[in-house]
Formats: sequence, C-alpha cells, structure tokens
Amino acid sequence: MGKQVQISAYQFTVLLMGFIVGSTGIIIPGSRAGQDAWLAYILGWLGGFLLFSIYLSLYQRHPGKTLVEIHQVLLGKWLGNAVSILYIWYFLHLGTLVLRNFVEYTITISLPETPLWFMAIFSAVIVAYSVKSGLEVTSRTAELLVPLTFVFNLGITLLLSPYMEYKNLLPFLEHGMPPVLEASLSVLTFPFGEAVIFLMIFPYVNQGKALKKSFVTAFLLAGVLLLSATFRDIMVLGETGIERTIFPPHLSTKRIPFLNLDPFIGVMFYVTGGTKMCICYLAATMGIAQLTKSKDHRVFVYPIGVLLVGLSLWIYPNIAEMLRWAIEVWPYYSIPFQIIIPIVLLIISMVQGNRKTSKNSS
Amino acid sequence: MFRKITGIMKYLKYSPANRHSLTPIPKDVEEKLGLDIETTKKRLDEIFHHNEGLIIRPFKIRTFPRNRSFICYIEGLVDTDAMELNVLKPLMNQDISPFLGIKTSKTITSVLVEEMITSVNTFLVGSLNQVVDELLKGGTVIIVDESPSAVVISATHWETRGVTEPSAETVIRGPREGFNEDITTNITLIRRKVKSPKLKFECITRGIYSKTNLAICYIDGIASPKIVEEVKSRIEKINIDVVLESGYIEEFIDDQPFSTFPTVGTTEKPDVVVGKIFEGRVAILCDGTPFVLTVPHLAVEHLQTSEDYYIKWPFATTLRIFRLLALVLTATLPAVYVGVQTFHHEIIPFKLFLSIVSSREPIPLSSLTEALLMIVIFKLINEAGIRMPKAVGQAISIVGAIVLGQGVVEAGIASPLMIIIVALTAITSFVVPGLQNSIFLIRILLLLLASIVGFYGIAFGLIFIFVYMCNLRSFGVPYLSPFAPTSVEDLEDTLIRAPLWTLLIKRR
Repeated sequence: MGKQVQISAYQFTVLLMGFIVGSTGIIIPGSRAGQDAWLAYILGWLGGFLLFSIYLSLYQRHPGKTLVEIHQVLLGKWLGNAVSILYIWYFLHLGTLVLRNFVEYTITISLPETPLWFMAIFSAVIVAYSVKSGLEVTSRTAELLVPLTFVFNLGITLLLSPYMEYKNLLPFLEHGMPPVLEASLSVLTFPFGEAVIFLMIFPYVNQGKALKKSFVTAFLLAGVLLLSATFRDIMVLGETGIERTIFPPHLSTKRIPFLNLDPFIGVMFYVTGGTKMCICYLAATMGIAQLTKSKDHRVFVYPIGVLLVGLSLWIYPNIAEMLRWAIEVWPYYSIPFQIIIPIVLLIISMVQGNRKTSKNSS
Repeated sequence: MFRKITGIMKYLKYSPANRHSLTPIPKDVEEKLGLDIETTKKRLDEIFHHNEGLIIRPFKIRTFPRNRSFICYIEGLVDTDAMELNVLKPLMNQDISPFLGIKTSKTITSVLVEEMITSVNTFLVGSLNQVVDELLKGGTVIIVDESPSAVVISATHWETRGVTEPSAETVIRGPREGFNEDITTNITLIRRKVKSPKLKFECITRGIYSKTNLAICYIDGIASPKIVEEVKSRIEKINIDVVLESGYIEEFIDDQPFSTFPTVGTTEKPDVVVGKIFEGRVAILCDGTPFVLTVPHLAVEHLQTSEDYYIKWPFATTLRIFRLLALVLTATLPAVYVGVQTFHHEIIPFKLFLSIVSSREPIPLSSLTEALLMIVIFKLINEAGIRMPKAVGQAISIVGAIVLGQGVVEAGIASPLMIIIVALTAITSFVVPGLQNSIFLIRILLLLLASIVGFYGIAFGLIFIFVYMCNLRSFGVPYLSPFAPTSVEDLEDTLIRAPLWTLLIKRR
C-alpha cells in the first residue's frame, strides 16, 4: 500500500533529529540526577535506541501501515480504534506541551510583557500553515532549518568552553544509583520514547530499507548534540545552577562576555520545537483522518489547531506547574504509550505471524 | 458570508495554467482559391479594405503569355530587391517553353516554383486564408489565372535593432551580445553556439490577432521530455488576443500565478540560455522581445550568474557566498535593527547601544516609522530613477543624495544609522536583481513582525517564508531544490561552484 506523499530517508533523518532535539534543547535532560545528569542521560539514550528498535520492528512486520492501521489489524476494529484515539490524544498533548514550553520560554526570557495567548497563536499559526501544506513541505522546511540549529549549538558550546569547570562533574554518584535511574527514566520518555509518534510517519518514507540507518544516524547525531549540551551546562553552571534555574542553557549562554545570544536560543528552540510540534500536529490530524477514513488530513488542521492553542493555554496554570508536570508526571504518564502498548502490539504481531506461518506450512 | 470567502479562495487556487480556453478561438472558414484571377483580386481587395499597404502588380509571365497573373505583397515587409532580381526578372525575361516539352501534368504554378523562381523559400498554398496569412507574415504571393494554387515567396526584410549588449545584464567577462526583438536573429544566436541536431526549436503561434511566433528550445536527450510536454501543453492552452512580450506567456504558464516569487526565469543573453538548456531546462523565445523565458526556474538561480562559469571557481564560489550574504542582509537588516532597538538591546555591546541611542535622541518617530519612511522614500527614488528621462537624472540624484539623505538627518526625522541601514539594504538588493520585488515585500513583512515581537517575529516570518517557498514548484520541480529536498550531487553548483571539469563529468 503506497502512500501518496513521499519523503526521502534523509528528510526522515532530519525530522527525527529535529524531533529529538525538540524542546529538550532548553532544559537539561535528567537534571534530577544533579551533576550525574550526563550518566542518566546516557542510560536514557541507550534505552531510547532499544525502544526505537521495538517501534521499527513493529513497523517492519506491518510495512506500509501507520499506527492507526496497525491497531486495527492487531487489536480489531473497536479496541484498535479506541487505542488509536488514546494515542491521538497523546500526540496532541505532546504538541500542546511543546507549544506551551516555547511560549513560556519566550515570555520568561525576552518578552515579559507579551500576553501568553498572543505568542501561542502566533507560533501555532505558522506550524498550522506548515501542517496544512503537508508532510512533504514540513520535511523540506526541516531540511533547511534543522541543520542550522546544530551549527548554532556547536558555536555556543565552543564560545563557552573557557568557562567550563571540570570540578563541577564531581563528586561522581554522590547519592548512589537510584536518583540516576529515576532521572534516566525521565530522559527515556522525554525525548527518546516520544519518537513512538514516528510510527505514524514511517509509511511515508520512500526508502523503507534505509529506515534503520536513518534512525541510527539521527539518534547518534541528536544524542551527541544533547549530550554535549548537557555536559556544557553542568560544567558551566555547576550542580546548584542546574537545580535552581528554569532554563539552564539560557543561563549558561549568559556567561558569554559581550554577547547575549538569548533570542538565538529561542529561535533555535522554535526551529526544533516547531519541527516537533509539526510532527505531533501532523500525526494527530493524520490519525483522525485515518480513523474517519477521510482522504485528506487538511480538513482537520484548523479545528485541531484551535484545540492545540486552547489546550496549551488552559492545561497548566503557570510555568512552575508546567515544568513540575513535565518532569514528575510525564514519564509515568508516557509509560503505557511509549513502552507497554508497543511491546504488547509487537508480541501480538509475533504470535499472529507465527500462527499464520504455521498455518501456511501445514 | 463564509461561503463567499471560500468562493474567493477557490478562485485564488484556480491557476490559469490549468484553465481550458473559455471561448474557442474563432476559426475562419476555409476558402479555396478561385480559378478566375479577377475574383481572387476582388476578394483580396475586400479583405484588405481600408488597408493601404497591399500592393498588387499585374504582369505577364513570358513562358505562359496567355495566363494573366499578378504579384502582391504588403509594403514594408518584403525585400523588394530580392523580388525584382529573383522573381520578376526571370519570370518576365526568360521563355523556357522550348524546354518544357509536353509535360501537361504540371500546373503552371508548380513549373514556376520548380524551374523559374530562384528564391530559396518558395512554396505553393491552396486556400485564400493561407494567402492572406502569408501576406501578413511578409510573404510575396504570385497568383496566376486558371491555377488552383498560389506561389508564395517568403523573403522578408524589415528593420531590426542590432545585436547589442543588454543594459540590464552586463558582464565584465563573457560574451557581450544580447538578444534583439527579432525571433529569427535570436534563434540564430542560439544555434551559432550549439552546432548539434539535438538542439530543437519547436514553433508555436499564439495570439488571435498578433499571431506571435514562439519557439520552444531545448536539447533533446538532456531536457526531461515530461517538462517539454508540460511546457507545450501549457502554451497551447493560452487564449489571448495579442502577445506583446514574453511576460504575457510567463503569466499564463506560471505554476503559482499568485506567488510573490518568480517561478519563470528571464534573460537577455544567448550564452545564459544555452547554459540553461544544457542544464536540462526549456527556453521559450517570443517574437518581439529580447527577453527569453527559461523553465523550470529555481530559487538558487538567483545566486548564479553566467560570469561564475567564466572565472576561476574559487572566486566564483566566494562571489556566490557574498550574494547569499547580500540576500540575507537586504531582507533582514532593517528588521534586525528595529528588533535590536525595541526588544533586544542586550544582544549588542553596550557601547554600541549607547551610540545608537544617542544618535536617535533628537528623533521623535519610533524606529519602525523611521525605517518604513526611509524604505518608502528609497523605493520612490528608485522607481523615479527608472522611469524618468535620462536628462533629468542628475536632478534626481541630487535630490536623493543631498536633499533627502542629509536633510532628513539634519531635520531630525531619521538617525544617521538608519540612513546607513537603508542604504546598505538598497545596495545589497541590487546584488540579486531577480528577487528585488519579492525581497521588498519580505523586508516589509519582517520589519512589521520585528516591531511586534522582536527576533521571534523575524524567525516566525522567515520560517513562514521558508514554508511558503517549500510549497512552490516550478514545472513540477520544488522551488528550493537542490537545498530542499536535498540532493547532494546537485549541491556542487549552488553555493559553491565546483570546478568545471567535475560539473562536466556529471553531465555525461
């Protein structure tokens, strides 16, 4: 079953990179582990590889099918659609979280007098335009812009290199492994496990065989970028700095003399976060389109966009609440969507596959 | 109300390229040539009534003294010297009847064509409509009594401008010739550069009244047949009275008629056209204008010039990077200035900020108003500079430079820094002349956005423009390729101009 829209393996890689860097670029992943955040991050990263392999093998058992269609095949019409609806909610919620994150960042850092709703609508309109233009256009735009964020990030890290204190990494494992493991769960679910959303995108990649290579490349590049950012922030700010501040990368860039690159971090965040929002938004609209058997996902763009903006304003009362929720609740909230359901699906698919092959052989 | 709006939106989507001709082109009824010469003459007089140019001259063919005949042409279109020498002289002086024998099967007109008229381009037509058409194109027609066909000798001669250097596309190194208004000359200019039968010219006539000749030019085997077919079918759908310039064609075959970016390229230079058709593009020549269209036209072509290929490649690469820099500067500079001043003072060193503030101190306007004012003033001077007669040029430049430039600062309407910014914007906008108009709109958009939310506005605006450009296609080719979608092999002739030998190897 061929999908009409097609993106290349390279475009897929870029989308995945943009998605992973996404909103993680403005926080320190695994910051609850203090100066051991990098260790938590690496553990989560490795776990991410494992999780994504599960998604990929699930897709490869059902090539050409999106998550919604896989549900229908494996779980039957009613249960499958119910699970699909849950997933669509999850994608939408993720998009909402990213949008709110971005808006809070801009308002906290550079535009304190701008109302929340204005920035939310403003940034959502552009994302909606990109989604309305379709996956092809979204991935082409990502192709142009996402590599720039890598250059920016590298530049900031290099500018900060004189201010890094290696002492800040010590003491190693002060409180033992438990906080590190706990933090690594939060890294696993944010951002790596969120890539479950790519089960909606897989069928649109025109070189299905290159998927594995693209995914490894994207995970490596984006992972290294985030790892370097984590090391940078820990070493520049020190443990107390990490635990106290809301947006650590912003605080560490302030250490660069004469220059203040705040707005650039914001813009960079908008590029990667925008990519992430686009993918969430696209996945939600395409999911609904497939559920309702509508041929064109564009019909759902505006209604969902209104929902996205509305939810993002309404869902958290303030920034502290948002961050607390993202760090403490989100990992557990995500576990069924990112880990349990895909594994269950894979097992069902394997059992069914075995049954089919045994039927064929007998 | 809502329905009305969606109706309008639907209309906006409606591209003229996909529109079938609304009214069928009126076709004249085919009229056979009469055998009687008098009736033919009368019909011609009727058709060219009140149209003084038609000249009819009766004469006798020496070989067939019994058949009356006349020669007719339209004054000013025909090379009369050639007619006298090659047509009238042999017809009226020589008698070849002894050599003819009793070949009764041949008509008189075919004998004329085959054995007597020495002009190269000579043929027979059978209907009166064709006779009229040929006359209007500049042919000379001989009509002989009791003959069902007429002889057409096509030897046109009219005044054309010489092949000169185009004023809009000057080069320091490279051929200086440019196209002129005559399509035959233009085709010759291209043919002289490519001596291969693979070079194809397909002629189409468009315009119900103007009957303008168009030629679709491409290299067989290099141009994609799909694109050639698409160009042909789009041109064939054009239904228009008069084609005066290739801009008419451009507007009809454009993929995105409402787009602010040009998706059809124009050039005045034969070497540019040949370069483009060797890259697999299709050129459309139009009679009556030196501007030749090339499709598909991509954004990256604005960074390339023909001269890049004539100088050494490291220099060409440097120039291209500077062109990109100019493009970025001309689009964003005023917006960045306003953004820094209004929202992000901390981004620049404090001392620089102090000097900006002190220079702006006496100015009562906001920096947005200041910027808009200066941009509008510059645009007006620019427009006046193009339209005015050359003799007044000095006056305008004095007014522009001294009265406005210095006066505005002294009167405290704009700060000196603003003048620098606008001047820099203006200069850089001439580096990429093809995008000037699109960039002007982008500049204003970014300026407004930057005045609302600072750098975030600029970023939003730029991302919006990127998404918009990614949406565009020119004859099926994404507008931003080879950047997006990226194809690594094609990148060697974009921002960097790889050495020619690597480019040529790929072409095989």
